[in-house]
Amino acid sequence: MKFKFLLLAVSAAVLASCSTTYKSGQTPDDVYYSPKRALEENHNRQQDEVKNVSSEDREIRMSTYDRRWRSIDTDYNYDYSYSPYRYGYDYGYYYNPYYYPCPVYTKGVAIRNPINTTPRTANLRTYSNSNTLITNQKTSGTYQVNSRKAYTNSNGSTGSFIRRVLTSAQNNSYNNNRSPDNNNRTYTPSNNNTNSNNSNNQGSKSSGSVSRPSRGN
Amino acid sequence: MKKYLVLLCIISGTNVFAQLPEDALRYSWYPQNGTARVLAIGGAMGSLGGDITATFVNPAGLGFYKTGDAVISPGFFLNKVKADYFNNRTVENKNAFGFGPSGFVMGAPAAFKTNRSYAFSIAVTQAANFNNVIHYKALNHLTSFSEQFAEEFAKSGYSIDQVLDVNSPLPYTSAPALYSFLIDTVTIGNVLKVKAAPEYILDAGQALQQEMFKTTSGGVYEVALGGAVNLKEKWLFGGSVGIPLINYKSNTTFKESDTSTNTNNFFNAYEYNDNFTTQGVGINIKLGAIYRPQEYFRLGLAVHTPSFMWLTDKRTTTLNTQLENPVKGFSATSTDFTNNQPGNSKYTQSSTWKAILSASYVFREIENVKKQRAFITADIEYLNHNGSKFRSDNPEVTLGEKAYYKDLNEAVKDEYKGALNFRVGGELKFNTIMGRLGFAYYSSPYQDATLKASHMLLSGGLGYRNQGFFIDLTYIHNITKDINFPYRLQDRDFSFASIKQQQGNIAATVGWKF
Repeated sequence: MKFKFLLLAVSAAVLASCSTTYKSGQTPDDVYYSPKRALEENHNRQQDEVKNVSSEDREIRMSTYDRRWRSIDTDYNYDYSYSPYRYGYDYGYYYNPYYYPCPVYTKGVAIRNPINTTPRTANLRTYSNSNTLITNQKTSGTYQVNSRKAYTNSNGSTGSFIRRVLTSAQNNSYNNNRSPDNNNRTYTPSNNNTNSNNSNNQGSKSSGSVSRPSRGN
Repeated sequence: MKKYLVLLCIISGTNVFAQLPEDALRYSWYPQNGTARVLAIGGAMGSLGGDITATFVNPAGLGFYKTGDAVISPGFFLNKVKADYFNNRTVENKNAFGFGPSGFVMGAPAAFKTNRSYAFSIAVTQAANFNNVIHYKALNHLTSFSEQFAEEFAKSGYSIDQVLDVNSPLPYTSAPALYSFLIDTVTIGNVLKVKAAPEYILDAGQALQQEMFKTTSGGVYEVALGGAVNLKEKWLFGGSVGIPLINYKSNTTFKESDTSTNTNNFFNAYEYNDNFTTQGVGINIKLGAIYRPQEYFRLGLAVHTPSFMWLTDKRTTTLNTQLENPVKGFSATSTDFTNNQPGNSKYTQSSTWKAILSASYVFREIENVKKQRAFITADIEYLNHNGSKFRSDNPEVTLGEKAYYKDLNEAVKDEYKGALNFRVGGELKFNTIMGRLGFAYYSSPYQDATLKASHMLLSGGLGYRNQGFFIDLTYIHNITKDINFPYRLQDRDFSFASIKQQQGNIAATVGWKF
């Protein structure tokens, strides 16, 4: 957070120190109208004066004043100029301090445990499209809705009955029709590795498993 | 190979697990950010132009510049979040700093062509601010948070040993729950079933005290380069390349406890902590055009491509369970099941595309600022919230993972919808002083009409512009309605909390002309 403040303060100081050409006179508002800047207008005026003069005309004009312009031959396109940064006449030979013809071996590569890449998970079936039975807590009846999921909201239209039941109850005990045994939650491992781990047992371990503590009795 | 077979069994079976669909909404459903001037007019910048915000909305608007701007836009958020869960209301506050578009715009006439000008910008903004808090608690006699673990484990087809592996396939949820005996196998009617300890309370007709506390922080910070050309003050075309930097942090604590005085009913309480970060980088392109059919009128069209993002999630969970009969406590952490280091999942996500249609009326587009009077502008925006796509980016992508992400994309398509958003605002100008008002409405992204959600923003602000310097101050009141599911179940009804958030946003922009 301090870094953010510092960044803002430094930015403001830098920006405030920028020279501005609008300290006197009107400050343009680009939303309404953005005028050409004063400096650019002068520059453009000068450009308007010379932009129609071709380079050839300029050479002829200059050559009348300076004899050095008379020897310029711009039709010759080969470039024999010397550059200290070019080496070997551009045949691709040059010195590269980072190039070494032998392979470079790095040592000390750390070996780490493999990273678990399991994504955060959601049961997508709870988002999927299916007809759903909504339970009416008041009548203990059910009705079917064409909802993609089964939710009962105490604050929304479908859940208003739940709110009444909850607010009228004082002992946290309700007459709901929740089925105690959920037949959809059977323990059936797909690889028949069915170590029976009833709640009173301590689970058996494979070599890669984390040992469960004793549940106790 | 064994793991792959089990994964395939899960896919072909009744249950599929993957990244959360809610992740799609995080990068699409948030109000338009802008400079204080633009926020004061509801965030409408689809056709108005002449502000650095155009870089992030309609880059053609940069084409109005023939001068230069340097701006910074700090902001401060004051959040008040009310959550209703089973008719019990909880209120929390959280404040945070933020910032709007800051950077440089440079405009200039073309060197050799009259009636043509160019403008360029480099800017950074906080496109989305994730600083928030959600807290709710209530008695629930219908379901338990822990049942999602029981359901996940029962339907996974894994054995207990497989789940409790040091490199577990369910390391954040079922593994800690099994280790701490929050869920376990139990024989009922000669059938071995998976049961969560809190279910004993619910089966006895009693309620569980539930409490959820979730804090989020970070944001989407976007750096953008924009450019525009102005042709004869009639047509303006622009484009920008944005680099969104994503930093999201989420800490969730969920508690459940037995409300009865019975100390012999197998369950007392548990606390589950889920902490994860999402970090990454992306790229997007915004293109736009503005047409001026006649003086004073501006019509704008902008299209934003999806942001293509490379993201990494790091996650750890902890679980502390207190059981009864016998009384005993157990603690588990997910790192025990992810090779003693936080889990690290890489994936790519493309966010949604959007299109903006806009119109403005600017009264007196004239050089003399004393004669500039006012403007009014409005945007209509279409955004397909269900267009987000996920793909695994882990070093070794299994067939199972590929199938997960394919189903996730389908779930996103089913869960969300395209939505229309609306922004309108105006300004009155009195030489160097300006007054502004604005309004914006962002409609629900959910397919299901039962889930009420919207953003409504009311804004007002003042501006001062003189001597090459300008400053704008704005207050935005954002009323957000949304829902929050603490958990979802396949086999039972489940509930959501209704969220009503009142957010005050104080925004300022300071700028210099050059």
